[in-house]
Amino acid sequence: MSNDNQNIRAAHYPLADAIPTQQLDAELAQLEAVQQKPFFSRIYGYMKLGGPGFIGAGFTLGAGSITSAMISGVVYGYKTMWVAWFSMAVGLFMIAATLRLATKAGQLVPLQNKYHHFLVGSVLTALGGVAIPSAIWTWGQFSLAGNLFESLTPYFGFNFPRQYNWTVIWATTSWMTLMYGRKDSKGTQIVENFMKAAIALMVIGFAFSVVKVGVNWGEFFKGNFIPWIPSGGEGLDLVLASGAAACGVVDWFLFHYTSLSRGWGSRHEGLGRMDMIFGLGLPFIIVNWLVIIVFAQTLGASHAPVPENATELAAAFAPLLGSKFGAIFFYLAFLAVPVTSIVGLNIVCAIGIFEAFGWKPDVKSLRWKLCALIPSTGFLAVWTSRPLWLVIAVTAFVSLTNNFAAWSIFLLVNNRAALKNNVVQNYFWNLGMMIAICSVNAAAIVYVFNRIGIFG
Amino acid sequence: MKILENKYGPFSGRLWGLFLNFVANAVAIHGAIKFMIHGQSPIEMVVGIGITIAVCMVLAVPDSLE
Repeated sequence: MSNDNQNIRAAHYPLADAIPTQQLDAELAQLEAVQQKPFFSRIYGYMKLGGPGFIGAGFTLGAGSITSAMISGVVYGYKTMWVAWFSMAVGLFMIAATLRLATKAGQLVPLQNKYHHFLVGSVLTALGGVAIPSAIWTWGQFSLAGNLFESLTPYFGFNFPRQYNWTVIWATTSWMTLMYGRKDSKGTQIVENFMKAAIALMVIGFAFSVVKVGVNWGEFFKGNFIPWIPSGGEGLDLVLASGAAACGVVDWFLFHYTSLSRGWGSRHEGLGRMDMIFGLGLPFIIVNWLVIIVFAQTLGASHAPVPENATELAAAFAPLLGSKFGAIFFYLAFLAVPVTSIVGLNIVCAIGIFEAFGWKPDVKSLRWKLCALIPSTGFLAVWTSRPLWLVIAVTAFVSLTNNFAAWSIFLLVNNRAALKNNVVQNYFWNLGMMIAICSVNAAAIVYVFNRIGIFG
Repeated sequence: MKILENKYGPFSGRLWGLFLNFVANAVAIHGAIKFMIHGQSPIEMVVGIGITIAVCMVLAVPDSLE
């Protein structure tokens, strides 16, 4: 590797070998050209060059977060809309920190192990905070995907029950997962483009539904700018699940390692920041808003009893669109939600396990393939009926492990031994991270208080 | 701020600050529950929020600004 190449890649991560250095050079040149363009062309350019942010959005917009948004819309109307942008805004401070570590110092877990303790890095972050939850969360994703697929196919004139359609979901997501990081097939680029297309489908599909049902703009602005928290345990769990979806260790970890897998180094931090805003932040906020609006405007306004799960909510909502085309579009957009999450969870699970045990990632190895497909055992969920509150409770529980990772990341980006002159030098960035830390602390504290019955 | 980077026992000042912040967060939330749900005095909540704000403002001082 030449000196110039070494400057581009501050730290070597094996999955980045799939990206030729010439491509990284070309991306930097394109980035400079994009920065000179008018506002909207600039945003388009950032989206085109980005990638890890879209993988993050595809993962974050999953069964848990979308179900929480649906229920929030039905039960609380527009009142909890602020949770989406607030949790993402504070989460971005942490993601920017992991990006700083990726571009200036290298892999997160070895840094945590070196400067803190292997219990913090390998055990609580990589294994307990990332790999194990990833394997659990896919159950909810497969269950939702199977049910949605089953609900979609009658619109095309045939039935495809979830007991069988899981094979299509499993094959598609496994194929995407195993393609990631491959040198011989532009795998990383294909997975990133798949995520971009799926997110575009979500935004367009849900926006189409919003156009059909309309928006109460007064309530929209009130819901976004007047923070409101429901009273009672279940309501708080719902808000926590929505918040934890955007501000959690898996999001930070995934963005960090997909940035490293993209070969991003010192000079890519600016591109990474744009990617986290336009690839991850905006799609997450927009999709959450759209989902809350459509359910607040329809099932929420009707004051009907709340259906038990996301599939029933979707089934109750689809006919309200008034056309077969609208319902198909809605189901396709909704199906993209669990499918992209499964791919993200598979990838992050493999990375988490490899980092926990200090193994060198090799996407062609049997070990990598097995680790990447552990979460796909979630297909078993198509045979069981999972109550809505279980999905939300798992998400809320994982908020307990977020503290260790959040504290550790905050300490690392302020550690001169780890980052030398690249330590955070901006007071407001640190303050943003502290707000994120207070949020994950609060999520863990409320979760414990709720379980021990302090709310009464 | 040197106090944040120096070690006191096993941990740095910044990590001790994070522990204090966690406790302050718990006090604030416990106080908020007592005040808003059970109608008791808001003092515990105010103390918790006050310590949280103070600790956050101190911990946010970057190493380079010392």
